[in-house]
Amino acid sequence: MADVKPPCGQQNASVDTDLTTLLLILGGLVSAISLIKTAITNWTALSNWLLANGVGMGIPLAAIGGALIAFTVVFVIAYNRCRPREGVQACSAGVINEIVPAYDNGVDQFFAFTGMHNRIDVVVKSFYWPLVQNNVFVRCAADADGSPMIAGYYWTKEVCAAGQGAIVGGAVGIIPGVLAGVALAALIGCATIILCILALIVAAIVAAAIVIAAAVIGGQVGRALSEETVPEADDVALRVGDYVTTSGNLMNIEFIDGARGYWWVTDSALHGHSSEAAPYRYIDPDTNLTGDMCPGSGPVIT
Amino acid sequence: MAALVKLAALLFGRLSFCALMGAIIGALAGFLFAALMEEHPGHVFTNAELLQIAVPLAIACWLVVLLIVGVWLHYGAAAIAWPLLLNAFVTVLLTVWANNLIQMPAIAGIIGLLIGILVGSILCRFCGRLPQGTTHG
Repeated sequence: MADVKPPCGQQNASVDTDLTTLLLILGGLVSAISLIKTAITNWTALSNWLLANGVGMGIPLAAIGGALIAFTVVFVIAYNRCRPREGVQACSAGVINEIVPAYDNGVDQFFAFTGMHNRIDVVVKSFYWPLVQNNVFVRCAADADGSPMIAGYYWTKEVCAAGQGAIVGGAVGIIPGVLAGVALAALIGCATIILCILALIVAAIVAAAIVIAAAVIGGQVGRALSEETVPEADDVALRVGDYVTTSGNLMNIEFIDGARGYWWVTDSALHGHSSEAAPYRYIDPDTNLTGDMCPGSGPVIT
Repeated sequence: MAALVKLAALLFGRLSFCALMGAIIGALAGFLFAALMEEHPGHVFTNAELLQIAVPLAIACWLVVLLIVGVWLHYGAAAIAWPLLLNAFVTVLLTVWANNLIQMPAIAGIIGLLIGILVGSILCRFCGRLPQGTTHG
């Protein structure tokens, strides 16, 4: 039985927890100036060096801030990609309209901690439209009808291994980053206001860059040590055009504008392949995928 | 950490995208201005000096946020670059001006964060639409 088709596109704003978490921790860090000053004073080697070279408290403060903020960014991004999220257990079926593999772009290849899990976009049977509908965003295929889709993220070992590697690498980079930032900024000095602000910016950016470089190295090592995975069902790699049943934790996912998706797909079953080409219309699975693996009682399992 | 994520969503989840950007820029600018105040304790900066400070600070904050949000979080650097630049200049100017008045380095970052939220919220009302979509999506 076909429900009313959900309207495609944005319905309301979604919450980006990468940004909000980053802001909360950043707020905490910039409020901890007195604490950081105490840490500098207690770091005897550094404070002796500062005294001997006539460098004030501002430069190490900027360097430590830069390093900690860079580490926070790496940590928040990596953590948010691999944390489980609260949704509802659900099941849906349809035809795969697109597959977006992990590390499908140069930025993610280089900064491995920004990588995203393998994802399939499924044009669902009209029976499952109630699962697509939310008040945030409805993603649709580019067909004439605008057929609603549900995304399915497959937990990808590489992504989490890269994140863990980046966190370890970033942590290792903090102290060298601070020292390099302070040393370079001290060369510029604080003789004039303009030189001083430049020195502070250099201190923060050099310290942050070293933390990021260490995180990039750590992320690449973590990624290299893990194995590459692809979305599969019944031990067969999924392809665009496959009819599938997917089930797992369904929720509004911030990485796709708050649209509905599985974070993550826990079970999937393959039911054959469509004779049409993408973009698929919902009529295709409605007609050709009559028996799927979801319980017949209704779309949401809970 | 999960509690922190929930708290962050509770505190900042209703803010517009521009307000979040402004808050990050303001916090960074406030922190670096606090470091400058530590280098020149008790010094009250003139308006000309504040402008000299604000320009490089705004450019630095703009580039940093562009990298984090535009590139790493996949909002698209080109899509957010120009509105973010305006946001950065206004937020940083107001942040250094306000902190120069108050002369309290310990709260300079928080003052910047609050100014950024205010500036970003106002700019978002003028600009209308939020940037949509990450390339992950």
